[in-house]
Amino acid sequence: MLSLTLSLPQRSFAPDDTLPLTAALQNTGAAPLLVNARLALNAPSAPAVFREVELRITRGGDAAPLPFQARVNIGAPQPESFQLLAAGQEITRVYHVGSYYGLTAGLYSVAAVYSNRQDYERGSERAWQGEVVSDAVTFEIGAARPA
Amino acid sequence: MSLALIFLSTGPAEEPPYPSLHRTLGNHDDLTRFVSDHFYLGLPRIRSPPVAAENKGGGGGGGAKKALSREEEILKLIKAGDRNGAILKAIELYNLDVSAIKGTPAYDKLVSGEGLTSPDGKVTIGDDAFSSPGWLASSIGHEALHAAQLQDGRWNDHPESRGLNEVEAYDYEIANASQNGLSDKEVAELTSRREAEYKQLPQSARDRVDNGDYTPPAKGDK
Repeated sequence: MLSLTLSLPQRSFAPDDTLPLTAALQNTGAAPLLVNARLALNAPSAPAVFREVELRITRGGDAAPLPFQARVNIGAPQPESFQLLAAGQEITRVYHVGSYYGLTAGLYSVAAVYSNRQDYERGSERAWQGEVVSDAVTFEIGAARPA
Repeated sequence: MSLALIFLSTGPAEEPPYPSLHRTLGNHDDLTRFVSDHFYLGLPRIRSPPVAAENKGGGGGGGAKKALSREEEILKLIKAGDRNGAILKAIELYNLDVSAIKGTPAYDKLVSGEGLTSPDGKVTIGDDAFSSPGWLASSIGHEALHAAQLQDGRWNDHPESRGLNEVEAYDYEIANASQNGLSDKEVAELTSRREAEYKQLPQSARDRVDNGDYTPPAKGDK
């Protein structure tokens, strides 16, 4: 069983902050799990083989998530992308959210989805497949200072 | 079952990435030539044929220092851990047009894959780009093309835009594969990625791409 947790170093950011978001994927089960540990962030519209993590960022009370705006050049995961996670162990990955979305001043909420659809075996272990969604965290981007 | 077998194989048993082309084109050289001849009129390209870099350390004193090839110069920087230096050297020695990129492309260990172009036009290069000098040059060129798409208004939030932008960038890399000295394996990897993105597009967009038109619909269009 896997869980995904997001965290930010602070709640408020300046407009030009990189906004470092940490995602932690933890094996909450009692047995080891072989997981796709690459945790590559990409657009929801990208082929599933080119992404493991997508973000759902909403602004204020909007229901629709913001569009993923970056362009990511990435291939399929390689055998070394898969790691055995012991019970209780977690892997973390930091994303500079500001590089992927054009965010302006306002209040935001972000949740993440980790998924792996790749069938991969190593010895007697078979890679975990499925989807896990994090709880949302909120943050604020302040107004730009007048020049 | 091996992961590589599922995702990376580009053997003849798979559906070809250019269904309409593979009837007459049999190998990567032919494909590269076809894409170069038909799909890259007016798009940013490598400006001139690559040349071996001169070793500038001799100072004209008659020392017979062997000129390093561009690959050797860049490999030296990569091996020394100077990834930003390798990026700049690749831009110089492979004559890459990076004029549309905002600022200087820079290495970022947090970037997944080969590279990332941000919505503000900045480019960051990830660890996977450094597997060979040619692959690094090709990957920088890929992101430079995205920056050009952004500058030219061919990048927007329409659902088709991302895929069209990626197919165009992979076609650019394939068209310049020979100039960048890419290996057959590297070209096969690009072809595989291009195929995956192409298959995600709706048929109307595929038809446009087959005719060399990568322009995405306007943001509000259906």
